[in-house]
Amino acid sequence: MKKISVRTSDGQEFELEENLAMESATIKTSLDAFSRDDIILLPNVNSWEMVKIIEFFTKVQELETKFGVKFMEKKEGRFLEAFQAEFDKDLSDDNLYCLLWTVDYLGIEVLLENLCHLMAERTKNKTVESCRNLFGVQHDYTPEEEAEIREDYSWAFEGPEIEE
Amino acid sequence: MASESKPQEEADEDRISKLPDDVLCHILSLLDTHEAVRTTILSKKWNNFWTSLPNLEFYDKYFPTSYSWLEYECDPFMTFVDRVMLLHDSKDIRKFSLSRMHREVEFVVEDVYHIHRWIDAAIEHNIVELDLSLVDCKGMNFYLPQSLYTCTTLVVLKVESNCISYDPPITGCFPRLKVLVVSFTNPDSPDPVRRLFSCCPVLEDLAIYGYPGRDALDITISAPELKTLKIHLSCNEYYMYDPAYTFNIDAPKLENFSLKDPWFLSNYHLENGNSLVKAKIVLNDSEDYDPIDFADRTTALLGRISNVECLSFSAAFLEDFHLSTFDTLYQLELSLGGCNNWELLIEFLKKSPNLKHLVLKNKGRLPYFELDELESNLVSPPVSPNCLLSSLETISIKQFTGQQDEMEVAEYLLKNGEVLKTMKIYIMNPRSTGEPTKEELSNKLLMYEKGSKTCQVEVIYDENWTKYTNVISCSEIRESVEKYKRLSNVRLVNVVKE
Repeated sequence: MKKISVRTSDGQEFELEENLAMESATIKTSLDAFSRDDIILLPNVNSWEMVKIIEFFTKVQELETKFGVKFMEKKEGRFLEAFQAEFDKDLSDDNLYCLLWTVDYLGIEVLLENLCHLMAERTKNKTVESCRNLFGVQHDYTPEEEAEIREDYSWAFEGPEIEE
Repeated sequence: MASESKPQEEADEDRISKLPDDVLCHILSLLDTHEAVRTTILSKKWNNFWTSLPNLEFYDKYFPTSYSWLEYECDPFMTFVDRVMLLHDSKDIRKFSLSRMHREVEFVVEDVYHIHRWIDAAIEHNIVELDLSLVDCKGMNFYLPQSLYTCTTLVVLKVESNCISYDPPITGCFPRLKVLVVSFTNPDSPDPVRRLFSCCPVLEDLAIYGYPGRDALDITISAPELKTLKIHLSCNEYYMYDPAYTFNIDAPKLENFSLKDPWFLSNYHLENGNSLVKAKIVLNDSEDYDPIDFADRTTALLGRISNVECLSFSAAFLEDFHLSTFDTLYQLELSLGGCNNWELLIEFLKKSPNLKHLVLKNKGRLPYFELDELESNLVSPPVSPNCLLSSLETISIKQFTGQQDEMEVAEYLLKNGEVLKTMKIYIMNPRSTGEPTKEELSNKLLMYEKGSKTCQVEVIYDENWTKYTNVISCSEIRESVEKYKRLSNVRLVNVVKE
């Protein structure tokens, strides 16, 4: 199996198996344009993100072998609970956000879907303030404007309780 | 991960608008609708993000179920749905799902009007899937709007209700509908469903659940493109008698047929069953009904599907029962209810000359046996069924408890299966100390004479045995017959997987 070399923004080099590298639409485009022997530069990707992506691929392959299900082909958004929990546990909100951006940039569909689900899970039962932090949103409503929105949207806040 | 290098400081500031809108919208679409709407408060940019949500799901269980008139002007759930539909932008709504099941207040005429408006709005937004759950409407009769029947974008319709009337137009009905699921939650449906299942020209997947009517009905299913049909009737707990429906099924391209009929009083006329590939039939019977009639109608039903390739059949206490030949059957799954289903097994084997794969499931013993019937020895047929001699390659026996008759079945199959490649026996944990252990069973089974030199026998400990909660072993019956007479409502658990 051919290996593709990539270099992240902080100068670290990683070797990916060709079929896994091709899961990234961005890398695939580069490979089509240039020789496979060249190192692909990824200035927008951090080394820790690359480590996480490789970890994901490795785990998925393990699961595919164990259960005989082609998760990658099916483009499942959610994998098994145990897998999700483990992949999720050491990702802070900030890291999740950055990883999401990177995976979108690299165009890795399956992982992107997976991370979107993770992100959606994290928004549940969060306060407004923590949601803002999660999505990196700058709070640009004045107190008066916010009060007005709450008034206009009072019907939306009637339902299940969330802590405020 | 915190110790790893984080993105640069400058990237942090850019991060505010870093994630592209389509990714953010996608994340929103994974939230429950009532949560997604609340993101309007996050920032100015987020104010209208939610208005382009493609999938809208409204479950009233998330909203206060009862309310005092003093606190709210109107039902908060209905208000929520109304505002969302009003404020949604012009982008398509792919899926609209409404579940109104937990309201304590009356379902009034105004509610019907509102729901019609919402469905119309969804249609205007090119709806592809509509899910409607209107249960417990307390006598209110709800008509689906005509605009829904003629909607040109609707592909999937799922309805669960006890109060919906169906009045499809004669022509131009459901032009694109491919999937229809109708669940009748109790037999009080206002009008008997007559034409609904004959007016969908491109329907491929139809499922009917529950109680189609209070009285005996003629139900016609006529669908030229239908590939999958599921009829799962419910046990009638509501009335003293059970209605006998007559299903007239005209589906020339039908490939998969799944039937669950607990009392098996209904008749199924399958017009052209030539294309049928896979069938699953689950019939539980009751000792109250005429066993000869039951056997006759089972024979008739199986006769109509005798050219399937895969069959899963579950019934108990079928006696004096004769099958037509299943020439093309290569995979068979049988759920046997008790000792007297040895005859059933032999009959199936005899009439399936080309069978390749056999799965037997021990459904457990129903407590209606007299003690001495349990001791009956199995009589081997004088001539082995053809499939055992020439085609049967794999056998799996599930929920094996190692009782006398089960061992005899395994022994017979091993001895006479001349082209058998594998036999897998799934053993459950012994439930009481009198029963044999896995090792004891394993040793005995592996010692049996094998008719096929290449046959591999595997005895597997089935870790899922605790799921089979209604399995009662023979030794428990021996302990106390009286105790089991009280368990007359035990339902047979069918663990056949899809």
